[in-house]
Amino acid sequence: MINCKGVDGMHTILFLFPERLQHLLIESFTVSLAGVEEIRIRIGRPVQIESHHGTVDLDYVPSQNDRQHIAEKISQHSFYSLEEEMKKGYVTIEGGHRVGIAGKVTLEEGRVKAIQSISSFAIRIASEQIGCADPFMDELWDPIARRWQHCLLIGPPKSGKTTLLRDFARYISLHHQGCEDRSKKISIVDERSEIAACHHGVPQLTFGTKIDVLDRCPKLEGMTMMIRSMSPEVMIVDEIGHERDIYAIMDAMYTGVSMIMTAHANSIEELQKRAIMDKLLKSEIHHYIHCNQTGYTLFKNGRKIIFSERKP
Amino acid sequence: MTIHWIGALLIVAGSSLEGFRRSNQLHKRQLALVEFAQALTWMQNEIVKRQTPILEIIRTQMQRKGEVAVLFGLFQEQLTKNQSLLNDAWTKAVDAYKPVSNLLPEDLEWLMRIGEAIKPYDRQSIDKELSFIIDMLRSCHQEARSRAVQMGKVYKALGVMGGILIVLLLS
Repeated sequence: MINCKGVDGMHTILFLFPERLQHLLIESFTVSLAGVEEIRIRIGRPVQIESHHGTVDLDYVPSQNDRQHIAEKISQHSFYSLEEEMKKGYVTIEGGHRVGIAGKVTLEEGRVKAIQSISSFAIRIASEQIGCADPFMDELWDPIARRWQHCLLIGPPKSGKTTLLRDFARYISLHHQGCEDRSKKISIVDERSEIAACHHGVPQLTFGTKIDVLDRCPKLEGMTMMIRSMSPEVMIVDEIGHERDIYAIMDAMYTGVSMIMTAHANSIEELQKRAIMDKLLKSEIHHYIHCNQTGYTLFKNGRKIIFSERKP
Repeated sequence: MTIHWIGALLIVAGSSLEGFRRSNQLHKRQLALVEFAQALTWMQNEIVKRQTPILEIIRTQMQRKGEVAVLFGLFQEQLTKNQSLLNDAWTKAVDAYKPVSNLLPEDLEWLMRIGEAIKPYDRQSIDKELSFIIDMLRSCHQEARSRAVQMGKVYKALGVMGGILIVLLLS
């Protein structure tokens, strides 16, 4: 499990906030912030909490001082050291939690150079559901070839694709007593620090021993680098879609690497409308998992095989 | 008679010591200013070029000798133990450093501005602010050095001569 507990079992996220906001959060959601998915701080507007039960507004309006407080706590008093990350609009903090940032930016030659002042923080609490991939593993294992089969996870935003992808990585990188073959060298190309939630390059979430992560690296370059340098047996990438990504994935597949990846789409039909994606689906991918709020459904060659309910 | 001689010697020694103390203070001020200018230039490079986190910078500054280490030690205490915010922690650290400092109030005012200078989110603003403060500290150092050269000897001479003069007047 993620180590999010600080002093007195308090969730580490709480230490980012001014004292009064800490107390309000504890009163509403306990010290472990049970059920909280996202905390939105907007200067001059009430703090908004997104949890499993819906969205709640707290009786707390953050001030300019609170902004400085949160910014300093996120960056350990050195916001300038996050300048490169800030250009992407978010930073990953210890524990793998992601802090999205909005405000006034400064441009140089039409590109974002730096954030001058911050007006909003969206703190997305990293969560992992250990075991959520377990129901699908037997189906995805090819006992004859002794390898994992390619699999594509599809679904709309916040449907749990990355959570499931992460658990695939955990399962495959673990040592399995009695079926050692299932444990493979796995490489994650984590473009947005979402899958492994790395902090200073070190994965913060639960994985096995056979895992290598290329953090914040563009997929295209990352996949080539990993194949050259780490000789993976399974590779994990998030949010594929661009034509270049698909060609790189196909190249990786031809080198014998099993690919497990995610794509944004409401249905498989939506993906099939994209010519290059359709080619990938028809030629190489026989398994895909459709993710939504209710659960995960595994399809093999278009036929529904397994449904697993999503835990809150 | 002997007691008179001892008294005279004590007056001359006391007055001379005061002269030397004042001269030494001038020397220490210019030394502290040059140390701060160097330390801040290093800090500026670390922030602008290497994006080194502030706590790491503080740890290195604390390994220096002299007043820089004292001030950064107080700064670290404010940030870590008292959990103050950057600017607030720096202001409190400078306030706590004042009584043990050899710097003049106008030098300390420039130092006080560092907390605000390292607060911005972008390195360019920090760079500009720190450059300005470093330049001002260097000009303070120039002034302190010429003052130390000119007045150092004067204070020493005045101390010794003043002591002798008092003895003569009293005899």
